[in-house]
Amino acid sequence: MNTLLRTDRLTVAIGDVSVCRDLALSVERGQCWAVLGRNGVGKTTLLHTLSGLRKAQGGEVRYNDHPAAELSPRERARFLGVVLQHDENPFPVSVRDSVVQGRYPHRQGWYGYDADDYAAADNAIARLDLTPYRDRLLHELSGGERRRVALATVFAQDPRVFVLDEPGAHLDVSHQIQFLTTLKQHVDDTGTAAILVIHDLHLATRFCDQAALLLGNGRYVIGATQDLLDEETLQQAFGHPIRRVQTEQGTLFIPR
Amino acid sequence: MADHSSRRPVAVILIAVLATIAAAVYGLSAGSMTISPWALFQLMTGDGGDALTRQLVWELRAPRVAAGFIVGGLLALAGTLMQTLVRNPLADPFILGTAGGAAAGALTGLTVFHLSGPWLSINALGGAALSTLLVMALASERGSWSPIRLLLTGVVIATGWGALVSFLLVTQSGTDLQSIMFWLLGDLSRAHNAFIALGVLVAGLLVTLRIAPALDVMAQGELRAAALGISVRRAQMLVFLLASALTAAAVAVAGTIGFIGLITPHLVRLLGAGNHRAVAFGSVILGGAILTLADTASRTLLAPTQLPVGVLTASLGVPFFLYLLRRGYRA
Repeated sequence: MNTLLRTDRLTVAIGDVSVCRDLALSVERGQCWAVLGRNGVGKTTLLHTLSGLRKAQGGEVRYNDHPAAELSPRERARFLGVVLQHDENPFPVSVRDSVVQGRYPHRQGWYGYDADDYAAADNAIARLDLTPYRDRLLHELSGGERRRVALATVFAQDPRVFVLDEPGAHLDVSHQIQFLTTLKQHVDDTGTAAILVIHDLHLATRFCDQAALLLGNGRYVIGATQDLLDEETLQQAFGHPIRRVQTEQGTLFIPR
Repeated sequence: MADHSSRRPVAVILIAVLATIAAAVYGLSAGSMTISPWALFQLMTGDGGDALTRQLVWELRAPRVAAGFIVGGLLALAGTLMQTLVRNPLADPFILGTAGGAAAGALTGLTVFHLSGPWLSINALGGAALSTLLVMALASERGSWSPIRLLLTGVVIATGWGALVSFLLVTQSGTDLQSIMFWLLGDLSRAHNAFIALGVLVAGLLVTLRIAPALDVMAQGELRAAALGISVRRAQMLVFLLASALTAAAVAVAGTIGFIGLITPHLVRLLGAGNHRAVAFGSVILGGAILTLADTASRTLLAPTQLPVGVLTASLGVPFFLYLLRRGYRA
């Protein structure tokens, strides 16, 4: 059993905008998937549908070959962890209290989180380079630091599939590379998988072996990232000429 | 605020307990006949004090102090829940119309059916339940409801109840004005037999402590709560019903006492409580203490005139509210 998440003739739409029609996706252990496409094409909507936060218009999503719709919210949250595009909290909460919430679906018994949960949270905080901020309040942190708190939360959650909506948003270059390297390593080591919405095509080819490129009007192409992102397809997807340059450091994409 | 981490609930609860003791001593000793804390201590520990003093303390002041604690705790806990439910720090127990429904129910009973005593409390409970169900039905849209929709529906319904109350007041001639003021401004002078309210408070606190980790997650957004495995709609309904029951119990005992439910959760957070377990527990204790202090002040400041306690909580609440707005929590 290597397929963690599979979609069967998945059809997703927002209002009368079609995101994808009859999408067949198969996310295997150890894979990192990139979901690509221009603004408003429905990447976030597709991610929410894959995560069970939104109903599909047709077809189904299966986790470990079980229909996702039949799982309880809690079972789903143990299998799949989501980092949303935006986070918000009107009330003061500390970094540690926020990250330990990733343990919510794993909580045992009646009373709060136990020492293991806090150990998992502290471990995730260290992974994201946040240890000095552990007892700070979220709203005192910068946008990039808050983003890392959200990413630490999903590590504390320890899911089989990571679903991350623009994980690199607000992160500086160093933290972007550091996070994606950590994630890729984690996915390899633990036989989990990740699906990311990402805008940087270079990072997509560098960290994601597979990609789904949404073209609009329900059309899409999927395949190995390196093969998929040729200049013609990119022109079609983004409506802008993009040059692709192969270098020793990887594939670069230069918009004209 | 160096450290808001929830690992300091002990400090918060210590402060709240000290405030409680101070409020209880003040409430029992102040009044037409001042009893020194020492005399009070002697009276509590057995002998000492004459029959009149005993009667004054045990039959008049102690029940009122107890009612103050219970009602204050109910309102503060309801405020905590409402603020998390609509994810708005400026929400209070009355914002979604529950209290407006209670006041309208009581005043209808008073002015139209000329009821009195416990019947008014029952009418108030009926009005609160009606209003809660109405808001819940109107706010749901194809099986889902967003906090903003709930908030707007509740606010509109609350305004509607306000209009009904005004209508009843204007078309009214010569009924007991004091009774009307009681329901509108809140007053603990008639609050007897708060045992049922105490039961509601204890049950409500236990449920809140039980669901506190879910409330922590819900405070960070509906989608995130769903992503972390919470059945968001069911949880929101539970919180709304719980907050409404707490509010209804408080209003049935003491009318609509404002501001306790708004300011107490913020005070507890400012003192350093971070998660809902600490905020809920601290709010109940501190809310009780604040209302008892305010009530004692309201019956002694202009004695023999007794001010409605709502006047005092509001005069404490308005400056605090404005301070809070200026300071902001930077959402």
